Order: sequence, then C-alpha cells, then structure tokens
Amino acid sequence: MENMLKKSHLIRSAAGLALAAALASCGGGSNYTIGGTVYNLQPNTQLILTTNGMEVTVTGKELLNGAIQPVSYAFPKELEYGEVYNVIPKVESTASDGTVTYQRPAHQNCTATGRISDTAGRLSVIAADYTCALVTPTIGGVVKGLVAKAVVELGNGSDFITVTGPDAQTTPPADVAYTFGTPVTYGQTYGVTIRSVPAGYSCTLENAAGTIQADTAVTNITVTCVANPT
Amino acid sequence: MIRSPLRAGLALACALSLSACGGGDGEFYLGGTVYGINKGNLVLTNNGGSDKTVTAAGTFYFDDLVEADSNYDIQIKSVPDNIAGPEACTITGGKGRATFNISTVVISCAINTHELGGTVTGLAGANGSLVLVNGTDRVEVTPAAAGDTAPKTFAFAKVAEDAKYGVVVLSQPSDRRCEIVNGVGTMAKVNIDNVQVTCTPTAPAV
Repeated sequence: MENMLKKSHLIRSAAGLALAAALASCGGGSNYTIGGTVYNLQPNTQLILTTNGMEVTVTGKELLNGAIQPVSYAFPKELEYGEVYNVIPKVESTASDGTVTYQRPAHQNCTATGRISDTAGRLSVIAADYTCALVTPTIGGVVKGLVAKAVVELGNGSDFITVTGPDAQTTPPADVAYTFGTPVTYGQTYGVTIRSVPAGYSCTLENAAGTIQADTAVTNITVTCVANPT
Repeated sequence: MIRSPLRAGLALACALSLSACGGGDGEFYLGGTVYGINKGNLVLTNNGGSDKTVTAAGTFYFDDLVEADSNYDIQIKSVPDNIAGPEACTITGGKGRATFNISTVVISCAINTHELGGTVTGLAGANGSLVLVNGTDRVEVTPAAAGDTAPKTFAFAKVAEDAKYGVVVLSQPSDRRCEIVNGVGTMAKVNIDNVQVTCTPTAPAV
C-alpha cells in the first residue's frame, strides 16, 4: 500500500513537471532547432537544404570501412514554438511552366524519409531526414536492319531483352529502339552482348561496353543486323 | 464496465475454438514469404499434412487451414533444381502453436552459384590493361612482361545457376585488339572456365 502511494506520488510529480514544461513552451521560452540526418550521401558531395529563410549545406563524410556514413545537420537559427518549418532542397530554378528544379548532390537524387514539414514543438524530436541514392540511368539503343517480326536477343550481365522487328515490313527496315529493363547505377559498368540473331542474319554491336558517367540514359548501343550472303 | 467487452471477446474465442473442434478444416491460415527462388518447385509440408508447392518468390499460404491450438511445423520436402538442397534454405518462425492467423513464416533460399572465368592470350608486354565486364561486374587483367607467353586467367564474381552472362571488352591496351570466344551463355550446373580472350597486336602507327 505504501509502495503504491509512493508510485502514484512519483507519477503525479512527473505529470506536474511535464505540465510545467508545456506551460514554459507556451510562454515562448522554448526554441527549437530544425535538423535531421542525411543518409547515403556520397563522400564530398553536397545537399543544400532550406527552411524558414535559412540554408544549410550538408556534405557527405568520408567512407568508414567502405560504408557511407550518415550526416547530421542543423539549421543555424532556432524556431519558436508554433512556427511551421518545411525543409526542402534549395530551389535552383523555376521554369516558365512552374516546374521547379531543386539542388541535388552530384549524380544523386535525394528524397524525404523523415518528417520534413511540421510545427515546431509539436514533436519531441525533429528529424527532417533525407536519403540519397546514386542515379540509375537506363541503357539501350536501336537495332538496325531488323526485318518484320525478326527477333534479336541482347544481354547485359544477367539482364536480357528480346527486340522484335515491326509488324509490317518497310524498306529499308526502320530502326527499332530498345531499353534494358534493369537500369545501371552511376559508376557501374555495362557490357551488351548479342545472345541470338534472326535466322540467316548476322548482327554486330557498337558501343557495347561502357561505364555510367552521366545522369542521362545511354542510348548509343547500336545493333546492326545484315542478311548473310547466300 | 471494462470487463464486459473482454468477456464478449472470450466468448467469441470459445465459440470459434469449439467450431474448430467440430469441423476438421481448422481455423487459421498458415503462411509467410519465400525469398531466393526463381522457379519451381519448392515443396513445403506442415506436420506431414498436404504439401504446398511454391513456384516463385513471394507470399505463400498452405491450402489447409490449421486447427486452433494445434502445433505447426513447416519443413522443406524438396527444392528447385538450382538450389543445392533443403539445407540451402532457412526457415524462420516455422514452428509454433496456432492461436491466430500466421503469415510471418520466412523461408530464405540461396540459389547455387558457379564460377565464370577463362584465359587471355597475347596480352604479354601490352601497353595497358585489358578490362572485361559481365554487366556491372568488372575485371582488370594486367599484362605479363613481354615474352611471358603463359595465358593469364581471370575470374568474375560467381554467377547464379540459370542466370545469363555476357563477357564484353570494356577497354583494351592501346596496342592490342582483343576478341572474345565463348563469352555469352547461361550458367549451367558447372563452373565456366572456357571464356577465351585472344589479343593480337594492332598495326603500329606509321
């Protein structure tokens, strides 16, 4: 019985403390630092975040045991209780049609994975987190000389694609565009092979192998098929 | 006041378990998720009951419901032919007593992998390395000293059984042109060591 009384006493005083803290924040005494963590940001690349007229540059740390390190950040000025924040990458430009281009670290896209927008003081912990990933452009090109309904199978590592000629024959045969289903991460290699060719045809590749060194799709892997001499 | 919904719940549970005792079909479904297979058949059993055949990674449920309060014990009866055996799969949460629907069993299998590699000839004394790729996997072959005619071997990361591969020259020494034979295939049940790369000197600049 005595124990129980003590316990309830403790709870009561804790409640009192919480109330006092809440009252203090209502009074405008408390300020809130807006910040969070950026995950998977490549070493020495920068994500510039903004909110409430402030700007902070988050720089990727050096690898530790080969692993990318999370980077904590905080905006320089605190917000007052009740102020609304919305942490977004810095706006680089706005097109005439209203499309906004945001700053992003080199060869990466970052998405919000924490609560980037809220009212200061509503949550006990402010974690406006972002997670970045290297770009993953697609690879592909055109197949030339593919006659109607002819099929050529192309491979890239374990990925493969069958490219089929058009339903109706044209003279000369129209180029048939193709794109592999599995994109390739920035910095990784690709190597396209011809796995099978239409009967009676030989096909050759141009620009078959490469390393992804841009954010845009690779579209120059050209396959040229010609009929075998009879 | 607080107790009455609890009591109602208990009554409902009793009613359910009674009906379970009455019928032979059981109460609760039993299943989970399979990882690491890409073809059939993964055959599972529960306490020697009727088999469940799984043909693709993803969610599975036994066709037979399990009776409330009965023990379940999932075992692997057979695996797809590109998996070494039941021991190449782990079952998590496969044993227990059924007191509610179970969808948390995790079966994780590892498909066999085999080596992919071969030999390079004609590279000795070349000006720069030969770089070969199999998709995103990259292997650099450095030339031996001029006059060393022993073939150089190379090995890519292992390739999963049934997976396709294609070895391509990413870059070659400035004074060699390298051609690949047996570079394209589908991994069977044995190591591939016959990818042959033959490098020949390019005509010297005049």
